[in-house]
Amino acid sequence: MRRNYIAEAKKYKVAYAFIAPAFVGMLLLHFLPLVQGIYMSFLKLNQFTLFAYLGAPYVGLRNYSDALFNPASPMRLGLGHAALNTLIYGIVVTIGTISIGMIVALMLNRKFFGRALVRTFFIFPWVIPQFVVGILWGFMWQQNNGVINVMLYDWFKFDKIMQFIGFHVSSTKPFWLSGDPRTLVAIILPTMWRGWPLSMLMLLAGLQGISQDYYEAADIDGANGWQKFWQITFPLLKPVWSILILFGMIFNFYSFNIVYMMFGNGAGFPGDWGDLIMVNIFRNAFLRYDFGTGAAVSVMLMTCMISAVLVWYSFYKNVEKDRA
Amino acid sequence: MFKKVPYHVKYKIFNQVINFVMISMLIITLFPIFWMIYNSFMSNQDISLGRIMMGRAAHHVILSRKLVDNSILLGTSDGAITFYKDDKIIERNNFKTFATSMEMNNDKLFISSGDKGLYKYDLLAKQAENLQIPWQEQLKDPLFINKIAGTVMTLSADGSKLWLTIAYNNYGTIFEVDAKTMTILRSFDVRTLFASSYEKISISALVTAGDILYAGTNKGLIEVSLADGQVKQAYGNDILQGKDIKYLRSINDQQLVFCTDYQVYLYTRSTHETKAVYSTHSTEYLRVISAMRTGQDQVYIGTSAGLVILDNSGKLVKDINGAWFKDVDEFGHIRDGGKLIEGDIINIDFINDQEVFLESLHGRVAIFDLKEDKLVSTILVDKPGYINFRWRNYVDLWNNIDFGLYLRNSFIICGLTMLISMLLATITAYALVRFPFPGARTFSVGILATQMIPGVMFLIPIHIMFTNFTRYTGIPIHGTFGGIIFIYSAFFLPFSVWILRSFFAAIPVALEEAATIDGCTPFQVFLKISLPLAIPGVIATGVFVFIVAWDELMFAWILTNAKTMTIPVGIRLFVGNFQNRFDLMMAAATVATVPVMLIFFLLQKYIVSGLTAGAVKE
Repeated sequence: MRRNYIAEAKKYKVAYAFIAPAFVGMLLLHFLPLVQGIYMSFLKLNQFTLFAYLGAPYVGLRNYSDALFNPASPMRLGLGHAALNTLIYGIVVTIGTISIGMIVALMLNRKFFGRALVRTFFIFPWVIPQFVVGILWGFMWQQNNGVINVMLYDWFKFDKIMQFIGFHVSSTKPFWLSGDPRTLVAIILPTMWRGWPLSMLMLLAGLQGISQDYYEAADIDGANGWQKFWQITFPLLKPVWSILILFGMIFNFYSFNIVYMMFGNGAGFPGDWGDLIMVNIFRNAFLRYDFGTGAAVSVMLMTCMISAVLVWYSFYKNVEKDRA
Repeated sequence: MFKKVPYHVKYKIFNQVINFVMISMLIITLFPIFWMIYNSFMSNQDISLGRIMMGRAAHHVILSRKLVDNSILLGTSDGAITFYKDDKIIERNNFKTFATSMEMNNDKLFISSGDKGLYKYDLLAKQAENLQIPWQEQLKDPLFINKIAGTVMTLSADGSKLWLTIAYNNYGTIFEVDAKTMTILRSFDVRTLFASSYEKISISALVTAGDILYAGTNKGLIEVSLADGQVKQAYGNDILQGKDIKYLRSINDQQLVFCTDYQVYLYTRSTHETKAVYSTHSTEYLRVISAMRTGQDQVYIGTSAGLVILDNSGKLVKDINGAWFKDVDEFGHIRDGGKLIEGDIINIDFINDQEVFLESLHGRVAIFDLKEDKLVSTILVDKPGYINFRWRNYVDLWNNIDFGLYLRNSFIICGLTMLISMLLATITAYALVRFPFPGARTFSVGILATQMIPGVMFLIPIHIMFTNFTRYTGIPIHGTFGGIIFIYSAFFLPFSVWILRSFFAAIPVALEEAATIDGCTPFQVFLKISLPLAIPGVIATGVFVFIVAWDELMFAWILTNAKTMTIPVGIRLFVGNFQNRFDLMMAAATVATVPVMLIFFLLQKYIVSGLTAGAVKE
């Protein structure tokens, strides 16, 4: 059956009027720049050709091959590490925030005095702006006067304890932000710290929506707490944590502010293990004025993200189907 | 055995364990926030040294006197004056000053400080009078207080006038103050002697003799004629082999004595002759002169190893060895095998032919008998200095960068962004949920797809689009509120729509149908039925947009100028300039956090219910 589009458009003219501003805004500030950005990735666009903008020399897939295969290109140098870091960072942060959020949500899903207040306090880190998180944790990770090193080494004698267990740990305080694998820990922890309250909130709301009948039935069947969690709670919260996985993917793979602010002067190279792909692109595109290659990497990143989201959606479709 | 524990007991224990874990997690979670606020009140020096506890002001004794009624007056460098009688405090007054120095004449005590100016304390009337000294008039540096090494002060012989300045890199203004009326009479600038701006002067001591005020500096001895205010170099530091003058005193009308770290010089005023008289180089250990005082026509020199007394011609009278303060710990208590503290005698005071007061660090004073060459007794100011809780960090922050402007800009930009994007998002979300118009599904997918575009990709196109727009139409966009608000509203719109959709979806269709039957137009249905029901969700989403906009750095960085700069940009610039001022950085971070925290705290009921509902129900 053919739909009569003109008639339908007339019928829904209020709806079209309602979405018109948003549509125009998205067209102007999402779609147009996106098309330009994609086109930019085929151009040799740097500080000398920026004035011509889209009239800059067309180089085809040169920017892509440079970023991926040309060992002499400065963009290629850090890209592998940045991509690997981003992958580790994104996965660890996403899973970490959801697990911690789940644990705290389960704790809060009991009846006790002052529950609302405790919940409010737990959400506080999420309200802290990301750039402040970067400054604050950058300060806390300082080598000699950072509170984390002071606590680990001066208070809890971390090195002595590790030696007692049988691991050799140097007794000098480590420099967390120097670009070795520790740095990755130093950027993952703050992001998790800021991110998990949101997961907790949503999971908590999901938990409160689960009927007690399931648990009573499980009790009658003699299930223990562990079994109840994995057989009832976890599957029933699937819509929530799958949405959270989507959030986590988008926010964490595109994470920028925290890392950018944490390394003091931000813009500089934070070392192999402290580099994330967005920071890398920003640095190369805007501080080395290589906009073309930057755009090429952005396009590749976006392609990866879209395919990841498509994979996620094929999974999420089943969730929706299950619920229906 | 464990199975015999009844269920409800197990349950209770389990609950308590969970409570304990939860509270520990809460503490760990809140610690960084607490740490940020706490450190914004600490002094940067304490932070740099890795101190956890808030530092206390040093309470070194800088003035000690035996009064007529045999009570002892001790002034400490935290601005406190304490009266002792028979080892008991009979009176104590604390002015809580920074970079303190004290002078006394009869019953008037003068306390000069870097931060609170000059105090005159009347010992009889027990009243204090304050005079603000405009140090910063010459400096124009809002952070100058932190760089003051100390204040330098001297009284005229009759106690009617006093001269004071600060020990500060390249500061040369000396203020003359009338001691009676506490008014600034005039000021001299000794920097006029040095034409080249590369020669940085720093005054470390002042003394008057006759009609001339002498200043000991790192450039030698400088004399200021009090009659006409002329500044002259009395002695260059070539004689001192480039060393700084550390202490300067007058022995009598004709003679001055001054010293560098290791060498003592006598200066005769009439002949302008300088003579090196005593050096600690010759002694067995490298002693640093840590105190010098004149009295009874003699020179008393305190070193790290004892007391040296010279007569007025520079001849050595006595060299008393004894590390009296060797076992004084950081609270001033003497203990066996205590920590050794450097610079043992920091000041010598109250000299008569019988005894001398040797002042030490951390509130300890020793009374030394000169006739029998032995320590008679020691007194301890057993009150540590005031806690260095510094509001000043915020004041410094405010003076140093235009934080008020950034705050205002951020509020305007984020507030308007919130309003505009909420306005558009509600109608868009409503249309998407209620009308199955052709293209609704594509539009929804498009909304989600916008979230997958990395922001970096937009920067150059948007920047150039705006530049071109301004070129062709003449309407400025860069550096205006309109431009950034437009960008932000459009950017946060898709996400807001996505969250709001579920709120409208949760409103029963029957309500709207009823309204339609009653004769409402679709727009009226939206305005009168759906919108009021979705208000909690709108508030939640709005606050969410506000928080995200408050946090945005990348676009604000290129689209704002000095007048429309938002807080993240301001802080980003600030952090670049003040890498080592952790105290100010934490104060800035606190100021940037407090507004969003307040908003969150006030509206948290809506946010919690709103965000959870929005995410879960779709």
